[in-house]
Amino acid sequence: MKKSRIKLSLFSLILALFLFSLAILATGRNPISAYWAIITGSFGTLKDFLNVLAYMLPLIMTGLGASVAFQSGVFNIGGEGQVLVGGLASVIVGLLVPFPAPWGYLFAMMVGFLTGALWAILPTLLAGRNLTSLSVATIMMNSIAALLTEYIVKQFFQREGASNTETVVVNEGSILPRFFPSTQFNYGIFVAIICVIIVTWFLYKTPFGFSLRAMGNNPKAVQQAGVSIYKRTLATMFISGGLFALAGSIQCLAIYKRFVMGFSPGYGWDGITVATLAGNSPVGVLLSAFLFGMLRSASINMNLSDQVTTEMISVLQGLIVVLVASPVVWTVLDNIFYQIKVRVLLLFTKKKGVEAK
Amino acid sequence: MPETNFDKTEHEVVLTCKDLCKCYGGVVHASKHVDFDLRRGEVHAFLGENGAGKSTLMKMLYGIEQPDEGKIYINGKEIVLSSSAVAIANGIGMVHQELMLIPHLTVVENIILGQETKTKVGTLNLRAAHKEIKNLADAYGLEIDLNALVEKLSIGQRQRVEIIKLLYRKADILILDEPTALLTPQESDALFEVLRRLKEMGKSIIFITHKLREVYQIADRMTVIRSGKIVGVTTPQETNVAELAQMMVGKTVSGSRRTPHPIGSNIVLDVKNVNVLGFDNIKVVDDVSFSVRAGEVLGVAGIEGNGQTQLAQAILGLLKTKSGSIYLEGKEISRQSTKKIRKAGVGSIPDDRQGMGLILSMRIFENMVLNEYDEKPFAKNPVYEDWGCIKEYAREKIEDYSIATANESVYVSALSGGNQQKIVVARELTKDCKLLIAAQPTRGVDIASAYYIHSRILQAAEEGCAVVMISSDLDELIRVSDRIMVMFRGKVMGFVDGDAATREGLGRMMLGESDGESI
Repeated sequence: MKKSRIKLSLFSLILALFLFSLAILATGRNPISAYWAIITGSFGTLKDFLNVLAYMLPLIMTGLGASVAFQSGVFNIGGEGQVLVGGLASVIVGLLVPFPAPWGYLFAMMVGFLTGALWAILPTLLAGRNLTSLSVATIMMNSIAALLTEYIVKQFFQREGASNTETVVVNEGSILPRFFPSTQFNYGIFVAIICVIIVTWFLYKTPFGFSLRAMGNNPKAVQQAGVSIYKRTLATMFISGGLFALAGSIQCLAIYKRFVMGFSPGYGWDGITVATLAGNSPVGVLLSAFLFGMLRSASINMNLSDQVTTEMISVLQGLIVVLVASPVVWTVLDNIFYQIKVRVLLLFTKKKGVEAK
Repeated sequence: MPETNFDKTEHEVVLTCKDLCKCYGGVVHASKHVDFDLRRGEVHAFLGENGAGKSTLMKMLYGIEQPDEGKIYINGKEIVLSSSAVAIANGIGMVHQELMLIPHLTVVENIILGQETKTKVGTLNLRAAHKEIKNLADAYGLEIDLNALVEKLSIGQRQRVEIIKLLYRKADILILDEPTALLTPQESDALFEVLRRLKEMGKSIIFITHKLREVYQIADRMTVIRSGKIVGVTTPQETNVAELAQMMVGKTVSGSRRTPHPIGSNIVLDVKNVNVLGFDNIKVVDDVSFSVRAGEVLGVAGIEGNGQTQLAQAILGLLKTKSGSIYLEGKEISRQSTKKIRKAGVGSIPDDRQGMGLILSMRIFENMVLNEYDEKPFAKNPVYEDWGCIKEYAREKIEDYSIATANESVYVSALSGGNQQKIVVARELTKDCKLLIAAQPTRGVDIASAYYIHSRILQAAEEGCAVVMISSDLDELIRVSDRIMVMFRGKVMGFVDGDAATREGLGRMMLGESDGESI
């Protein structure tokens, strides 16, 4: 990742926190105690910290999924749908296949990955690399995924007597184990870390990964060089969709042990946010997913302490993304700083005689 | 309305720049203490290589960029040009290199856009505007069909529309940024005719170019810029082409010219009756046949947009041919993938260097292996790209082509146009290059680099590479090509021998007269 990109993310974060303080002040609360609540809510006790890690897991997976897509210049915004189908596919395998402990959840996650990957391929086959069409198609696939998973669960797997749309608990061997029964932190961390390593290696150390990054930077140039853009786009969507789907698999197999309608509070969308703050770097995803995990975990604590609501945390998330994605803000700020510097250095005064006509 | 009575002998100054400075990023001086004045009724040429700082200066005059230091006076009054709207209000107009017209609107609609004449009830008053523009165009002798759609007009005519647009906005100072870049010699002459008339009517014209010949045709005075500084102000009478070239470049350069060399007997590229369809099923390449032998440089002349680009893309397999066949060393390639064609030994310098030739946001060494990144030794195996080996290779190429850069990890966007193009040439001219398709190989490249690129292309030809060189620079074609093929509306108008080719002859063929000596 370029140095300038890291700087951009850091400054965006700082500026966002500053603006967020103003927003908290506007609601008549004290921003310092709100930040204190975020910190104590994340690091106060070991249990709090492990919960932050648990919240971080799905965000790492979706963040990676979005990073691979964005680095290749493919706008996969169907992540939410891929999370849902991945989760459901894993749960169905968990219900139907009676494998013992490691094989049960490993197999279920693999099927989850493949289902998400194929689900992502589908709109790509239809839209090709026409970016507008692909974006629209992947968005629509989100709604289809939400309704389709609901239909399948209700029709075939609905737990009797449940008021929610949900399945029964999966087989013992397909449950992704937790480290401690009292926290949600689970074996998904291994999956996440292995995926970060593989994706990093893939993007930066393999010829294929290089061609994807090159395509993301200038598709016409790699086309000139003889690379098939269409095939590369399909491959990107396959990998990206699979990574998104693993987020769903981990959440379903470890946290809920079943498929519950609405289990994802928008992991697919958060993945885009995480990747954006991370500058699409896989290692950056680890850091930014941790940050967003902190915020999510804190929002629950904050509800309790009545400092700031969950909605306010969404405001902070939004601010960060808007600032990272707004080069104009930084050009203007850069310009202001530069102008100040020039004026201070040269003690140069300019007569303002702007003529209107 | 145009004024006709002004005193030419007075040398009335309409625009003065005093001590203009502009830095980018605090370090690079795009303009260093530029002093300059423009007189009423003169054509003032700005000469300089690409990157010499011509466009920065013009952007400051047109209000797109603001100078860090210095002052601009218009008719003796100091004015801060804070935006192009202010520049226009003060009578400064600019014709950009890429014309800013809307193809689907008529000439009148384009001209009044942004400054519409309205009727009493607030609707568009096209009739009044039409009348006003007609009077204006007649007064300056600018012939144009005001009701024609802009998309139906030639580039030369569109430029005329841009000029009328400026006059309609009451511009007295016209800045023309490389106006002849896309014109045939005949169209350029017509443009100069218009400029002379504007001059007589008291308009002042700043004419930006790097073509020396044009300066002698049209300019009253000229200012030579090099690395942001004014090297000198002179007149065509006081100097000659050689002196001027030396002022521009700063050192003497000698052009590389084709020397007679043996042309192999075996045909490398054989194109037979190729047709390519564009949008709306219009034939963009119309029944084109030609062949190129080993060691031969075939120049392809034509006004841009007459099928040359599509022909190149068809050979490379980037565009599907409708019919016809293309043989590379006897093997049919027109149905093969670009990858296979490239692997068979076809190099390509695309006409849009920054859009298609390079990845500006990546580093030099990454750009250097864009074609071969997945082959040994660069890719040791499918899961390991050997970046060490690639950097080593890039260093060799940087050395070989004397690319000016700190090291091989510099981002390509930070390099000058000439050095960028050298990267493309270095990448494409590998040892096993049998055919090179070079489209506009020296566009936007400084003179020294352009000559260097020519010499490398000629060297490759001498070593047996067949070259197809598409260019809109006729001098380049005549200097480098063994044979020149002229295209017009997708058709081949004829072939001219490199030694027998003249600018005028080629120009006529480029406009569709097939009077060249066909071979």
